Amino acid sequence: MTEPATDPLTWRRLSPWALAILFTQRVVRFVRENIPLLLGAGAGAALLERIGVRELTLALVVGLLIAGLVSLLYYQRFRFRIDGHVLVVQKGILERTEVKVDADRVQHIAIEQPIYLRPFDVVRFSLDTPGGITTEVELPGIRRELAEALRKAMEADRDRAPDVVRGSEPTASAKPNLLFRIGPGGLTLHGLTSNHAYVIAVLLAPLLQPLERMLLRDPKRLAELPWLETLMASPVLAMALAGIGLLLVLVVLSVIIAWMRFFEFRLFQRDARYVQRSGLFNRQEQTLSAEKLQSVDWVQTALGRTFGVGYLVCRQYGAAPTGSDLAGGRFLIPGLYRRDGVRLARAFWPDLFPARSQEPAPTTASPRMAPPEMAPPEGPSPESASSENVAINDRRLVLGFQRVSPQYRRFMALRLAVGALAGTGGIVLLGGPFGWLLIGLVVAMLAWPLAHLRWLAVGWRQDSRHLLIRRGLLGLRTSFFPLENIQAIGLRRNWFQRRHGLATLQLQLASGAQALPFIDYSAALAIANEALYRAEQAAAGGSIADRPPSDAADDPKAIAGPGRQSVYDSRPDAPD
Amino acid sequence: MALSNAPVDPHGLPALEALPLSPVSARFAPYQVLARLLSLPVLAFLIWLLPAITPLPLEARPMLLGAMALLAVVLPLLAWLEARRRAFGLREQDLVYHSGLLVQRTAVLPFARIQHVETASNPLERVFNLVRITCFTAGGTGGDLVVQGLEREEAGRLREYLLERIQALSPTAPTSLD
Repeated sequence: MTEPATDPLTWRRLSPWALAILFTQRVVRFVRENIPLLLGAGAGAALLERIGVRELTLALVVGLLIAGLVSLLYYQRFRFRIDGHVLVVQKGILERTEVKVDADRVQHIAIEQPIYLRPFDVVRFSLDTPGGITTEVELPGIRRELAEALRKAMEADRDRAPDVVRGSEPTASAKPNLLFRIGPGGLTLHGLTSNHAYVIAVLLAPLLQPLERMLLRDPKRLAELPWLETLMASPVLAMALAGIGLLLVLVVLSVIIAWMRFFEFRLFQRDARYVQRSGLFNRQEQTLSAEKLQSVDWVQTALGRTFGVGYLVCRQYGAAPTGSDLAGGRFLIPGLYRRDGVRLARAFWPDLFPARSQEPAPTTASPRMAPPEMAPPEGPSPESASSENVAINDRRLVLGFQRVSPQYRRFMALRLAVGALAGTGGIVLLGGPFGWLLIGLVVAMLAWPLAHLRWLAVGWRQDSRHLLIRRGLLGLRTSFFPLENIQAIGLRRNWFQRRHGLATLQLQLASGAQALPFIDYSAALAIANEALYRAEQAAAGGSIADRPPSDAADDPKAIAGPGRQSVYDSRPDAPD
Repeated sequence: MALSNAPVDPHGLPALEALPLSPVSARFAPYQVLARLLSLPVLAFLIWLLPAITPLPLEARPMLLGAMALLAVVLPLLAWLEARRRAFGLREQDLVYHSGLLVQRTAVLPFARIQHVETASNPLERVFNLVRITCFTAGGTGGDLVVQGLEREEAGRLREYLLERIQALSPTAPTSLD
């Protein structure tokens, strides 16, 4: 590490402005955890009536003072330093914690600047290592130049890792290559088509009940609004207008959120890292190590499919399999047309979506994997190999996918219908209202159309060493990843699948599981065999065919014990 | 990122389906039956309480307990049959574990992906001299593989072998961060 600005081996403290971040974080966490509960149950109003405004204000002031005091103590006890290529952080008020993070293990670095800290040029610096679901280390409030120096120091040390495309000197070679930049149109489209609207609706839902109660408690207020009375005379019109109004508000809010979050979004490639910068008020910079990238999702919501836009989510080690696309260290690239999506996917894995003229012969298990009934409904692009590869590649995210067996649709419909009827029947049997059974019947009737939509959405294809798995209902999410990235493989077969010669293949990645349901059993085995071969070859550095070192444990009987059947097979020499 | 994309002949790959699997210990079946039977009293008590906490008539209690008795026969029987079918296999590069009766699962874990190995046993397992081996992978619990039903000596040998193979595959494996 050659960064004088970080002055290694001396303990450093956070900037005094970090107090603002710590205080705000505590207050926001408290509000987020408690306010929806109070508002949702109407308990806030009851509390106000019972305790009184003055007492409540006093309690709030005391609460804020405690939050301030805790933040001050936390700030005082927080210190960090760079020791060789290890970042050491000591923190904690009652329980002292020392965290050491080796630069080689860092997969993701984020520098974030809330608007209230912009005048002071103070940022929040955080980094993740593989295996952690939450952020590993956070320095909440250091000067920007120190954060930049820390980032460079961690990246410079990380460049010592093998298989990383190295520049001659990290700082000298760090000329970023702009991969993508979003425009106002892209931002607006992303806002329109993203699922922010549903999230906002869910967040606002607890407010509806108190609002309704407030209006009903004071009918005079309604009388003051004659247009509202006119509307109430025609409930259908009122509901339709309310619905449209709510939708408009949600869409506008959704677009505003997209502008705030992704304003001036830029994606760069610098050495073997991807860097993105964005944000209107809260400026963020995320750095993702290319070698830690596990899988990429191409996501199109139902509206996004109409407009032909979507977004990419780059997933790394340890990201929780479920949750928001922005959760953890996930790397979201918004507002992409399909062409941009394909181009960026190829920036991550250059051998993905090979041009048709260069496409290798189908050496994978596809002949066995594609019986006639599973042949892709949409054939490959009719254009000849000499036509524009860009146009063909553009369609690679939608064409050539094999559907899973139609038995999947049957099974899903049956499971949903039986599950809904059994669940609601059980509720009625245990004394629940009879209306539950009606709900169960409606769900049972919708089971087939839903299962059909699901079956239409689920598909897969293999592109040389990459597997693409598509799923969804109205929206679509296509995950793609190199087969050698698998951590483990699972093959699951219930009695229904065994009867029809099918299996569900589960590919466990470090970024979460990917399932391929109801595919031909032989196809599942072929993918499993190839994925295992590629993973093991990659881990062994291409020498998988070599026998393991001779030792006592190599004798199957020594492993399996006397009298046990040999559990080894002798692997044939691996083909090249 | 180093890029390798050599073509692969699917017919020449080591076939998972060709691997002969070895059954787990014969003591695992009685252990499973006993474990199921021990878990039933709690369920029976809850079912017995059902008419008291729901509008179900008290007359339904014998019927519920009858259903419970049926479960007390069927669940241990299924557990016995399932345990007799559990099996595992080792190849040069990975560990294979087969489980399940109605839903059959085969899990394969390459040695190179194992982060660490843990052996554990509960009191009932110790009565039967059984040990569980858990192989942990990176990035969450989804890929972790639990091999149940091995006798202590065999589990010890397997554990040692796994550790040796892991070490052989990654001589410069990263150490714990903290």
